[in-house]
Amino acid sequence: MKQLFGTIGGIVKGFAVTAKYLFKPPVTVQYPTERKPIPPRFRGLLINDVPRCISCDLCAKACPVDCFTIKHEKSEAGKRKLIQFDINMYKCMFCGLCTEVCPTECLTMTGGYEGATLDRGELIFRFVPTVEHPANFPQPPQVEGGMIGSAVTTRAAVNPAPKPPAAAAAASSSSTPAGGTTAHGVSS
Amino acid sequence: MPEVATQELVLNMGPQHPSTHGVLRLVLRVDGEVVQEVTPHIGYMHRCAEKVGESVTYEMFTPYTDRTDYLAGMNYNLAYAVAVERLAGIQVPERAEYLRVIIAEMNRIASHLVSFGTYGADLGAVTPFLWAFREREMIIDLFEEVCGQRLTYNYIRIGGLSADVPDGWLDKAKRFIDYFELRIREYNDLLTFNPIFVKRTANVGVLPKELALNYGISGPMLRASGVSWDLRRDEPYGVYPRFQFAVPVGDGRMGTVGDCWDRYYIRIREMEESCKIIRQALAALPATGEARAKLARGFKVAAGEMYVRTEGARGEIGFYIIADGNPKAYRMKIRGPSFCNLSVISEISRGAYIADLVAILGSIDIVLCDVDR
Repeated sequence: MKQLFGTIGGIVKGFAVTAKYLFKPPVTVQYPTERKPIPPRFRGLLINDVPRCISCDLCAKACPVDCFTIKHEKSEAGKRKLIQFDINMYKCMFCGLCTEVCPTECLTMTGGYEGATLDRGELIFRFVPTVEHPANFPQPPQVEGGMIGSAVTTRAAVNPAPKPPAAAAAASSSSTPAGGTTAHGVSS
Repeated sequence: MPEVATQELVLNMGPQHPSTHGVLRLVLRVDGEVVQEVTPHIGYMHRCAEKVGESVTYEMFTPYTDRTDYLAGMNYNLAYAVAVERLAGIQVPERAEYLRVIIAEMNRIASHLVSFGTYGADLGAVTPFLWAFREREMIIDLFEEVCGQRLTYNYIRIGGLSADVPDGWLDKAKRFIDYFELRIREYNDLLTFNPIFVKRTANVGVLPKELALNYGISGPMLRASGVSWDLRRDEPYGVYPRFQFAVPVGDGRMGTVGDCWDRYYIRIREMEESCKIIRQALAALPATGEARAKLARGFKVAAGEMYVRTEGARGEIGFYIIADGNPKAYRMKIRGPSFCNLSVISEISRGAYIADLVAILGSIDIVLCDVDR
């Protein structure tokens, strides 16, 4: 008998917990009418700003799945001219390693994640238009403040600029002697 | 009346099955409804991770470690990073070490939430599944802010983290932990001590201590069988020695030591302990510091070999790396905890009903990518 009451009590306690949520609003985001906001560091579909690209091939070397096809030709002045920059998005694993090594930060990841296509050929993003193939890459979704890019996983964030030493010198010269040793001649 | 002739039946619980937690094929030999023998057939998720480890550089292999255990990707990132750092003698900055602990413990909570939610769903309780994923969504949103992805993070790198956490993230993490500790109480009211759940899981799939040690079981499954062994406490790495946390051990209070209920409850208790670790780490986190040690691009690791084991969400993750002075490893062996944990399933499900087999498989908490790599 006691066990019966224990069992019923245990089940009723569970119901009490769920009943509490009956009167709370649901947490569902009704995609596609609503979309969750995307954080700035989101690693979505790639985009390359071709005028800034110096065809150094660092992104192609950094890619774990070899999805880059980059061709350049040497012009008379000795500078490299990019003639082909393709990314096989069906191989891409969105790891972001290519954006981290890009020295000019022309290769970034947008906030786009809706990349489904009906044809696999459309998943080869061509950033340099040629006579045979027009440029084929989706425009990044427009958000206020400009395009979302994985700005923080670029080199500037991974190797931050060193702190200026002037700030430390100013701090040590204005330190009060109260309460112990002064930072006399100590460089940080 | 003559005895009815009975025959054992060989049944296939095929790779496409909602309760096998992935593409796992279980060939059952049943006598009526009672299981006599279970033979797991694995390999449906084999993606040659270890071979890829020989073909790409050390830095490039980090995204592959995410995919080896997609529910606890940060823990696998961390296991690999610690292995390469120990092999190459790389020092990780202090702030990065603390952040790694916070992130890894949050990922442990997220992984145990999936285990808790899907376990309820396996046994017919659908509500905890949605609640677990609601909390998990919050953790994943925090991870999305920090690294840009929700499941395959590539965040904990060799030498530290790929980038420091954004401003305000630590406050959000603290608010999440405050919110989450109340939710664990709700889970206990709803599922853990629910009489129906206890009836389904207590005394089912008992794993004795000796058997667990002989089969190389690790993680919550080993602790539920009464062995107090946690690599974060017993073979610590990083800054784990600086934190105080309890290691929950199964005591068989609802049935027998090492039954499904114990394995499930150990994970609930581990979520609570992870919250404690995160609070301590948030309090002790250095305010400034580098996020990553400086490494050359395509760095070479001097010849040598190293086996490093860390406590993942499912058990002991081991990385055995043989380096030969090149930018790529000579051999990258991954010891996946789910592989060893799954190997014991035939022993512990002898004499159980098929429905109990589902409960046992859920309590082992496997991820097929970890079993197959």
